[in-house]
Amino acid sequence: MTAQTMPQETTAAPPVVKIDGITKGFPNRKKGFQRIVAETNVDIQEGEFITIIGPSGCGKSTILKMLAGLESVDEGAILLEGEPITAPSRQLGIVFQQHVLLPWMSARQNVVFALETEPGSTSTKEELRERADKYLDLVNLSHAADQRPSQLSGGMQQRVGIARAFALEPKVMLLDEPLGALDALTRHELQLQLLRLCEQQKRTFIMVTHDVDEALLLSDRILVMGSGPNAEIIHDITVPFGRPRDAETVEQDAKYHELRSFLLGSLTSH
Amino acid sequence: MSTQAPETTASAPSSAEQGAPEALQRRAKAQRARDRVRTTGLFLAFFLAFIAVWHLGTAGLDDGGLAPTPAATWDRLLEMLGDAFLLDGPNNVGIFYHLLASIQRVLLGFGIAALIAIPLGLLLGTSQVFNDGLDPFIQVLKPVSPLAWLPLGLALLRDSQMTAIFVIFMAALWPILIATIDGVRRVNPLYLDLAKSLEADTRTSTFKVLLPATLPGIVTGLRTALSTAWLVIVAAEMIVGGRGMGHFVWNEWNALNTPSIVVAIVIIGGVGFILDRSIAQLQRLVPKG
Repeated sequence: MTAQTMPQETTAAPPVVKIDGITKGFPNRKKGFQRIVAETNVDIQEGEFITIIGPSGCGKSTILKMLAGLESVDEGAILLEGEPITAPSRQLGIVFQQHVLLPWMSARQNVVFALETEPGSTSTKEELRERADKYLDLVNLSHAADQRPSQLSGGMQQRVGIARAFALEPKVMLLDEPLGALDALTRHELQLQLLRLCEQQKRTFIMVTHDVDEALLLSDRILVMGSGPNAEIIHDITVPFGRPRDAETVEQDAKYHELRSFLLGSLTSH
Repeated sequence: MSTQAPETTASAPSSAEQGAPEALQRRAKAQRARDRVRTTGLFLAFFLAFIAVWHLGTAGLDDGGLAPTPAATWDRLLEMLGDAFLLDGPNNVGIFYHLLASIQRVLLGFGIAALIAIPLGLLLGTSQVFNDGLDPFIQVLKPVSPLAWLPLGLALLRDSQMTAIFVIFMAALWPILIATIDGVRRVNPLYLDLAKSLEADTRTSTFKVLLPATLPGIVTGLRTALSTAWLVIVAAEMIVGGRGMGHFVWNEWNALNTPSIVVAIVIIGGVGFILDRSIAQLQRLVPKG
């Protein structure tokens, strides 16, 4: 049923995330029930940056919501280190599509709030504050820590959201079109910042986007989804660029243009 | 790095005053001053015209002095303010104590309504099942004039003071309840996804996320409720008696003392305005999403 090829080198280590035969659908007024995501199987290795790309409405965001535990699966299971994901977990950090900062808190308070909600946390307020400041500094926002979200630009707001997700130090980071709401210039700037951050903070990343350049710049592997409903993964592409990467080398690579036109082609022809 | 939006040029004090736009600024300032003079002049003109019409309208009537003339009303105003703090037996009470009684009833009934309506609204806003079950009651009881509850209150509570508070409670309950439910529904659903993904417990997600995010809606409801309560208290007090602005107005009518009624109307309006303004101030303090 699945058209994807198996992942490149089948390593001995078990996958950190295993998407095992999941499907998902929603009640539909006309047909009674509409399946959105066809049976999907993916193994994600530790430290991998994987991107799910596809046209609007293909169900890629639904897959990410299921990975986050915010949406249940109809069939199959998603396993995090062998355990099925049935509810949201702090092991799964989310960077939301639009900034989701609480407007009555400063940037720092937003990060501290995320840290202090940890059940059974024994850290002092001071420790949490230091940890929040460390991650705000990683996204170059130390100077804006005391500002309210409404005082920050769209790009800065999203950087606070990224800092918050990293500060949780989750096993897996889920990025739901993290830069989708930004203008082209800010977007490019943040792509580079995200690239640097992801290479620094060794984690497993799963991103959803419809930006081909973003996918090629950041990922180790790109899963291309066909158009929905009942969408499935039609290509599983290994991105050949080494790490650490920089945007210029990647963009000058001949394979970059080849992959780019291939991806654009497969996104529009379905 | 400055993060302030560059829209504050008009109010920036020192930097904007120098340089070329000085003349423009002076012109804008002069324009504002002219507008202020016009507004004040217009207000005074209307006010004088109103007094003149009032005077002419009432001076011609000779019906035993029932129509309040401006002059009689003015005299009565001074008299009432002079005796504002009078406390001389149950039938001779200064206007201040009437006002105080009304404000107390309103704030008490309004406060109890808020204490019940806000938690209930949070529950109904988050739980579709609860909401669907209780919505018919809300929809049928909401359009009932709070005064319709008054006789029932007298029968059940057997206390006129409690009944007045009960009527205010019924007047304030629905606006707060409905605004809170609506406020919860307007909360960005991603805030709740965030709380879930942080494994926040019910307490944290209710008090640290849901409640602050609903606050703008709640305060709007409080404002409507307080205005309604102040409208209703006068009518309620006309019936339950005792002390209070409504009772005062009705009493003065029975004594055919119409200038007092005009004074009372102005005081009721002024205090209603102040109550509304104080909640509007609260509204400005609440950060919006």
